[in-house]
Amino acid sequence: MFKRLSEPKAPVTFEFEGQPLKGEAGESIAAALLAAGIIDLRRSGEDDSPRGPYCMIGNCFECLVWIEGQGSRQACREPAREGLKLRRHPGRPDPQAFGGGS
Amino acid sequence: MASSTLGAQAPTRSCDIAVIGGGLLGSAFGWGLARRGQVCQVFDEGDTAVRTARGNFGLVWVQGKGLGMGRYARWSLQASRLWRGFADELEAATGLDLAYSRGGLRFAHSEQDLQATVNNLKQIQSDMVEEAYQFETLEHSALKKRLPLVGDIAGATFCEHDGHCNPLMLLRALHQDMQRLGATYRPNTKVERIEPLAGGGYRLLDGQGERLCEAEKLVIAAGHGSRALAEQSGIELPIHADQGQVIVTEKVASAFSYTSDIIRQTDNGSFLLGASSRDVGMDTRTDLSTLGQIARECVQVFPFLRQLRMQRAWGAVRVMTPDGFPVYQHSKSYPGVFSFACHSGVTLAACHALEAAQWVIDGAIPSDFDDFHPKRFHVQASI
Amino acid sequence: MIHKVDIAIIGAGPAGMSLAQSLVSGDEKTRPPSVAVIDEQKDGGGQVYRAALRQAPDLASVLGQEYQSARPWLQEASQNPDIQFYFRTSAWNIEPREDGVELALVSAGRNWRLRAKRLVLASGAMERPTPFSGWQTPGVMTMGAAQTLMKDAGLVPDQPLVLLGSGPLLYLFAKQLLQSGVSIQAVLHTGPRGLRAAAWAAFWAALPGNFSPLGKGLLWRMQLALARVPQVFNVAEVVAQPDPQDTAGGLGALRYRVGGHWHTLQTGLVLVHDGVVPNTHLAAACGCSLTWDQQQACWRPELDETGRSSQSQIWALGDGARIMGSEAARWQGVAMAPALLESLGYQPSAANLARCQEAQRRLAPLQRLRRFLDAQFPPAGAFSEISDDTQVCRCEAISAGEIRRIAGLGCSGVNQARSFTRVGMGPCMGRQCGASVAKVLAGAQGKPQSALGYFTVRLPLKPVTVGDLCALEADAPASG
Repeated sequence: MFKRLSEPKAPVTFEFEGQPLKGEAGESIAAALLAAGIIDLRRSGEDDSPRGPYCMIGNCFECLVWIEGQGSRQACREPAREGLKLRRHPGRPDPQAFGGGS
Repeated sequence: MASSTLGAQAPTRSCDIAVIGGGLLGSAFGWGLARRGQVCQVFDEGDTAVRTARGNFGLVWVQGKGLGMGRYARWSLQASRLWRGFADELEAATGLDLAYSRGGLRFAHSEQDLQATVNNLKQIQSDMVEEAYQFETLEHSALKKRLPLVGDIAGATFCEHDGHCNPLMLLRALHQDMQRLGATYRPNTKVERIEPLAGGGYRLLDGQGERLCEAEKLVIAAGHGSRALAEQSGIELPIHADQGQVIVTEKVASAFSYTSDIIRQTDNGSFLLGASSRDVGMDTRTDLSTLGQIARECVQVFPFLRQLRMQRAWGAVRVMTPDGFPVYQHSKSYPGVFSFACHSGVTLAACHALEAAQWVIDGAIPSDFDDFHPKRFHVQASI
Repeated sequence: MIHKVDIAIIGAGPAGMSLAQSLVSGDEKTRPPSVAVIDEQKDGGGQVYRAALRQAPDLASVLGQEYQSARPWLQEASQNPDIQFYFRTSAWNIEPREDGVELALVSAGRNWRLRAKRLVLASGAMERPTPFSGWQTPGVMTMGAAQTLMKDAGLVPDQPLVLLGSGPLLYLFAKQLLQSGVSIQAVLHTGPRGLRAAAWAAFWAALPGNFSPLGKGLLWRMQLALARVPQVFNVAEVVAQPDPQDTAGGLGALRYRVGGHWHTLQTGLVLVHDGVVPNTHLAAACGCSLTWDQQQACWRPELDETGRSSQSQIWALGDGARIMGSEAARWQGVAMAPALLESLGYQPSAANLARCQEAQRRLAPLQRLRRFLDAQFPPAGAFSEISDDTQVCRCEAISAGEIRRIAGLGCSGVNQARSFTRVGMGPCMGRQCGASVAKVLAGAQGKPQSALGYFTVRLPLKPVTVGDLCALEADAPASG
């Protein structure tokens, strides 16, 4: 879908649905996922349709992802970091899986 | 689909009964009257008016209501008994889902809290005499068995008559179906004056003195706007604004099928956290210290809430009477003018629509409801 | 912890940065007011000069000379020791008070509060929402989004793509894509090939003082033509269709109508743009009155000639106040400083006043340029006549048809529509759908769009968790 004009200078490794991916430290998670060819970051909680990044400036909330230990986050506003574990946002996550963490 | 009847184009015309207020109270009367064949018009304000109906928590609640007034406890219980049939009828007519379901918990953070609730409920049982409803007391371990996600709190009381619904769909269903039944909805039309007509009946006028309609009878159900209108009709209406704040979370999978007085999961998946009370006049803003308190209280009940994104928070103003019980009145000096005020618009919607609408047609509030008359406040109630 | 400043500015784009710089650069003798600038990004520049301060030289040259030329002055402002910068910070609640405002902020997971005597909203523009059937399909993105990916992460599309819509950004971005070696499959213009009849007079009026921007626009058009990219004009309707073979549910085809004829393009990526509108979310949340701008067909905060809103402690400027473009935003920052200083009892310096006059002079031709752009690129009909199956509210998946159904119930405005259908209740809080809902209701009820109003805005203005709320100090002062 998208390609990098130059290779990452400060590469980080993170996971999406268990698959290890590389990105550039500090770029948005949305950018890192799009560069890895992943476009459907979530399912709609209403009609279960796939959704992906749309506005990239934090307005539309279409790029929500699930970050383990943190919850629902906007992929366009969240920087890629080493070791992040991401999941495709299911629309309506199951509270059983949350734990009472901070 | 109802025909479009927009306020701006509606001509002045007469009707049997004019209802002032298009919120849950007014719409319940509008629907109840239309379904009894009355020709009625429902007057409502504009898009950004202060509205109690849109800020509603959505409870059909019985537990704990009516401490000190058995009549109100029985009325709430009756509402709960009517609610299923009321919802079924509206759903069948509109195709909308009101998401009504039953079973309500009142959480107790401490042992004292639990004991106090139990004592209150027992007092209400004895006030209600033979009609009293039952409740269950759940200590922590019993509660945990039913709700594995519950945190470290003392327990809860459970009442099968409590329930919840989608209050926004309730309002829409009432609007949609009363129009199907022939009622005229007139938005953006604020009634400012009531004039009695020589041959009986009343004329309604707006702020510019424009004639809006002539009606044989009136129902004043305009929430905070009721007071000024009631006064013109010889009705003293002691109400004040009581602010409640509500937090809505992002949507999650179904995790709480009952409801409670401070936490409920809507049919859309969001959690509603709320029920604060703050006396601040007509202020619909939120304040962070109250929201912080609500959040802390609810997280104690369900620790997983901590991780949820706050979707929205709002402040809504409830209509409150001095003792919290409803105020129903029929004007002595202006026969046929009724005024209804209460803060339990969702719970009592079933009673208002299915029972009280008939009182308006009959022209009198049954004497069994004398307790709801404001003479209980020792003020001069009628001129 | 409550921090206090004289002036808080939300937004470190051209408007906010130039205002901050002007506020603290009075004469040497007087102590400048304390100024805080808050922005979500990691450095200054806003959307237009996003990443300009850290851009690699080769990409910077693709992004153009105007982009590059912002770097020196952005750098100078960023390094000004008299300005407090709070980057990666979002304001999630704004509480107007008698003596100013109190902001609830979150920076890297840390909650804090800021009290300011004046708040300036420099929160910029957003792309005008472009609802059409299937626009929620992954693979349909805004042109601004793709440009953000280019500026921020050096990403460009690696597959043939379609550009759809109208506006100056379409030509600029096409040029940038071609220069990066991206293959453009087609450009679907929602407008006509040449100048609109209504735009000619504005064009001649704009020409003096605007040779450079108008010339650039002409050049971009020529470059697009020379690259032999297929171009279609007067596209009246579009439908995006997912690829049935794709497990990710991505875009497969774009159908479009010109006159009475439908055509299909097989494509996996469509970038859409229909101009920009002020992002009024913060202004509405603060309770500032908004006014309907007929020319630009959007809401904007109602401001006096100095930029003060109906809430006297809150001011606004730049594209968030009215779309005028980045250069105007910068001059507006200079122009606003004296009046803002005076409102706080500071005497503006002679230098400040002189710069303000200079700014006023520079703004005049930019206003004429904007009148031309408004006339040439009005909101597209293709995104205005919204089909029943279009999801106007993407968050709650509410269709235009559903809005039309409730229009018949006498729905008095967008707020009643929200409570009847849940439209605008999702996480974007109506940012994407407010205008479309009003448009659909207006069409169904035969009223002007402005009569249906705009959504009242509730907190949080940016995402926070219930846990964040719990962390608010129990003894925090109640609203005043």
